[in-house]
Amino acid sequence: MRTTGTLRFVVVLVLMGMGAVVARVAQLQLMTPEALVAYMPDRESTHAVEGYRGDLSDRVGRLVATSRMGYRVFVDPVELDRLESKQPGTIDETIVKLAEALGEPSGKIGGRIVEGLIENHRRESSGPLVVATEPTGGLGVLLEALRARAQTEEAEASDTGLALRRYLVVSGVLKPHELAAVERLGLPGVHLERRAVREYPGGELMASIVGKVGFEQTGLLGAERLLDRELQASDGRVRYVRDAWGRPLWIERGAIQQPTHGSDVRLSIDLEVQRIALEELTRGVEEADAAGGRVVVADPLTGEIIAMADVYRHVPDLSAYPWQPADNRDEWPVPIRRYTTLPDDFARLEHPALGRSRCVEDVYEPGSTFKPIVWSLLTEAGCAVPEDKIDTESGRWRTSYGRGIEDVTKRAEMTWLQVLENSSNIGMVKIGERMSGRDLRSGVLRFGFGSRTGTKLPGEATGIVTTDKSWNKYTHTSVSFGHEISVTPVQMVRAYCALVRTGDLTGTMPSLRMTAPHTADPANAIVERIIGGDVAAQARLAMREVGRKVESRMKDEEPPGGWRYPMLGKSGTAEIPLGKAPDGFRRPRGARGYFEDQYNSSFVAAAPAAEPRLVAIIVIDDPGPGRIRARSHYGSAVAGPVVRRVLERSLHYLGVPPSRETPALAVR
Amino acid sequence: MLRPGHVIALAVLALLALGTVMVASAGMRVAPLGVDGYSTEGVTLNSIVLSRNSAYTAAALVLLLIASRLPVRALATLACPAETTTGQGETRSWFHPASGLALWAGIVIALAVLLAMVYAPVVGKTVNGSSRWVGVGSFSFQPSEVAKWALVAAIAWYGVVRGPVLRHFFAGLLPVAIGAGLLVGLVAIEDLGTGVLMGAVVGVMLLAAGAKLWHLALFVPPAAAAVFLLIATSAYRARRILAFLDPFAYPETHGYHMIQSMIAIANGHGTGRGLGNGLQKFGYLPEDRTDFLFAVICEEIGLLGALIVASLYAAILLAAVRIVSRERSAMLQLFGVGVAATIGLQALINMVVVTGLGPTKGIALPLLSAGGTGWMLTAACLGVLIAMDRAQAHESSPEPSPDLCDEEDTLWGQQASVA
Repeated sequence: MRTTGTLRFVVVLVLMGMGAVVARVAQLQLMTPEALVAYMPDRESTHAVEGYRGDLSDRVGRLVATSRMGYRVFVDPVELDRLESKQPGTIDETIVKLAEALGEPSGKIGGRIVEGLIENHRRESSGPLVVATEPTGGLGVLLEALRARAQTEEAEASDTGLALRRYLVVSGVLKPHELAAVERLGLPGVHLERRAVREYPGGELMASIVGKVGFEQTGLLGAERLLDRELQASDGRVRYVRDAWGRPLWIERGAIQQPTHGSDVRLSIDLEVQRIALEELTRGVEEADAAGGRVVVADPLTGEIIAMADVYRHVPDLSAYPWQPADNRDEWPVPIRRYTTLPDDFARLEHPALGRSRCVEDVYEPGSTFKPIVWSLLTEAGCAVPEDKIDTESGRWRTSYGRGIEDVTKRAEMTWLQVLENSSNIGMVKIGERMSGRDLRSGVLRFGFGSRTGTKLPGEATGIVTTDKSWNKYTHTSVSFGHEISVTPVQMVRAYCALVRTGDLTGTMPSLRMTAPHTADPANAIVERIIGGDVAAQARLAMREVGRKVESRMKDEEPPGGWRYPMLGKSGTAEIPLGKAPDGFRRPRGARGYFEDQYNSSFVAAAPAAEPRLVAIIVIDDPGPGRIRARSHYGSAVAGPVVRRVLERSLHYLGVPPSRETPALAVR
Repeated sequence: MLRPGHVIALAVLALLALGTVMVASAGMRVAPLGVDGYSTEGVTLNSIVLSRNSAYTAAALVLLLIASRLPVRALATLACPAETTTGQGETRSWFHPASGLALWAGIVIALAVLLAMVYAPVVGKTVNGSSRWVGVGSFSFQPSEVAKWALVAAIAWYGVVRGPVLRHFFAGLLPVAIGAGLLVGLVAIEDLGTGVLMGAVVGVMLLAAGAKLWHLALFVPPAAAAVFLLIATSAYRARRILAFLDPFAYPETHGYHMIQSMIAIANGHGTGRGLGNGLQKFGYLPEDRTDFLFAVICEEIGLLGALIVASLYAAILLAAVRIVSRERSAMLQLFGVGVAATIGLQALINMVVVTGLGPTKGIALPLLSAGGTGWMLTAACLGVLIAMDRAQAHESSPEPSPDLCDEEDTLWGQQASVA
């Protein structure tokens, strides 16, 4: 039958077609073509869940760095453009209203927005898929297709297909009233963005220690960088399936990743001791008409740094050192003037956290403050016993190789103990010669010079100890009284810990630390006993005498009943080395390697003397010419009183029981 | 024993049920409460049962039921009184050939007017740049949908009335070709896919009615030229052809639809994402509830879904073949051919388009894609096939009583006597 046959034929055709369709579905589903896979995006968006960076606090929990959430404003230029085309004048209105809400001139915000709009127009017009006229008719489309393909190939070659900007930040972190104003406006195309903001309640007092975080909340400087691993938070993530308009549909199993918040860390710093130290240092620098000063206060038992600060002081009539061009060979006497010894720290002017931390980064010559270290090394080695009488040549002597040595306290004879007490260079050099250079050098290294102290602060200097190879008799002589060696204030503090630790710890040295010890990070193990307990006790005895001399000159400041916490310590005064000449320049002919009559005056001290609980160093950089003329530029005169005040106030604040010396004990 | 009519009824029921569920699934949207005055509660059994499509399903099933109860033989005889039961050999009609032609012309004009209504100022509606809809108030329909089925009936009628002369080119084929060509052309201007479908069905029916193959072949070149002209003068059609040839060259523009459809299918990964778990329906795949519902089915039910859909259509087609082959009335036979060819070809074209085997065409999947009139008319036409099966069942009943005439004969006899 014709009818049925025709239908049979059609049905067979249709069934074959459907078989092909099912086969096609199977192909698409089971063996998805590569070309299609490339266009199969995961219909997912990610929403970040902020983790909070850990807080930093001082040793008793006062916040010095913390995070809060803030908002800033960004605009979507594409959205603004669309609104403008719908209703002209929208952009102007948005700019004016936004500027009013932010309390800024409209030109500033408007400039930024208009810039973004112009940039978008530029990108749009350079895009590859722009057709000038919409072709009508199918043939036109075919021709257009050929043209477009050619254009696409061109465009791919030059790769100018830039995405439009849709994110234009126009404000900093908003203040509460600004936020409220922007929210009240509810302008379309204007959005708020949550951002973590780092706050530093410690202020300038702590700035150089705490440091700073960068834009992405990573520590860049100071403790923020040092402790970044612990403080660092990692953002959580929620992945959700979205529809074509970006609206969330659902969250798949396992698509939530919780944020990890950073751990809070306690610093070893005590904010109040820090304040005391900075206050006293500033006063001391002021009184000494100095260019700057540094202070470090540490706990000798744990190695924790309790306070650390450095200051700059503006001195009006400084001149730049007259470096000579490298090709100038003329003899040219350097006029004696006050030169700039402390280069300006421009970064610090920008932000206090950006400045150099001069207590760990900048070295100086310790001078006589180094003598207790050499003295105890020599005593430990048996080169002399404290009672040995030493001929100090009435304060003027030439070494075997003819180098002139002078003492400030000129005596004909001193005991070995008095050599330290009176800071006799001659005595130190004479006994120092009884030790080999190699031994002296290795002793100095054991005291931690030439190596970092363990603060892990970024940029810590190691200082310079002359190498074995270059160690000659000049070096040996110089090092004996603390010259030709460069150290950092923190290194000096650590070395003194070995001298002032009492009991079982005596003669040992801790690593310094910026954080309070806790179970996961215990206090440092004892590595090596550098000097014996008896030697340390003898050295303390001599240093107590030095401390007593400082105290005796401060009668007007002495609390009724005497100083609560008797101090021991050692002063030092050293000329400031010139350092390396700038490129293309050299030292003027005839000039020594030092600034003439410009000094670093320092004092390292510990208190209470019987069982020191704090060790502190004060370095006064370049005391003024007035003090030098009055011969009161020495460490004991400019730095001693400062360290005395710092220790007295700090220990009192810390609640250490006073241990006034009874007059009977004070008599030797 | 399951009769072919039962198979059709069950397949229609299955397709409509699947369609209702899948249209509801594809219609899922993110709709926050109170944004636009009313809020959706999501897709639930309740929402599916109370949906518009459930109402259409019910209406379609009622129409199916009514159509299956129609005295089709009697109606066929009424439409063509002298029709012989086989449609072959010697036939005599009280219709003069000329009056048959006049009536044909009248039908064509009536349908042409109906189709032209889409351009009428008040009732015509333009959706997506095409004028395909006629509507008054909330009621609207596509005249082409009506014309599609009306033409099937008209050709069936013409094929019988002028069956004897159909083998003659000028007397038989040309008038029907001109009339049908006019209607198909009118449809094709706005809806090329439906036009092509109607043209193909007309061809199949005329061939079945006895027209010579080479006579019909003469119409292929002008038809092809017309199709090419329609493509060449329309930018969007040309783009669709381009997109079909290389969809990945235009992933953001004309190729987007085809790529998204293929992504939807590929997302099924054999087992399907699970009913209701499709992704592409959330705004990525356009026309997901209507022309591209098959892609959603493949995404959510996987290969199994594709097989089920294909099997259901195959069941309908095979049952239709069975019924047509047993049918004694030539006109009903031709009508059955037309209905089966329409449903089969329409489903195939849709699935070919959705799977990216052919250029994108706006053509619905019969009984599945969301739609009111489409479902109802299709179901009604399949109901006629069921009615034919019922009539055949009476004939082949185990105890044929010579005393009793066939039901429709009796009916006709009564009506004739009344006349």
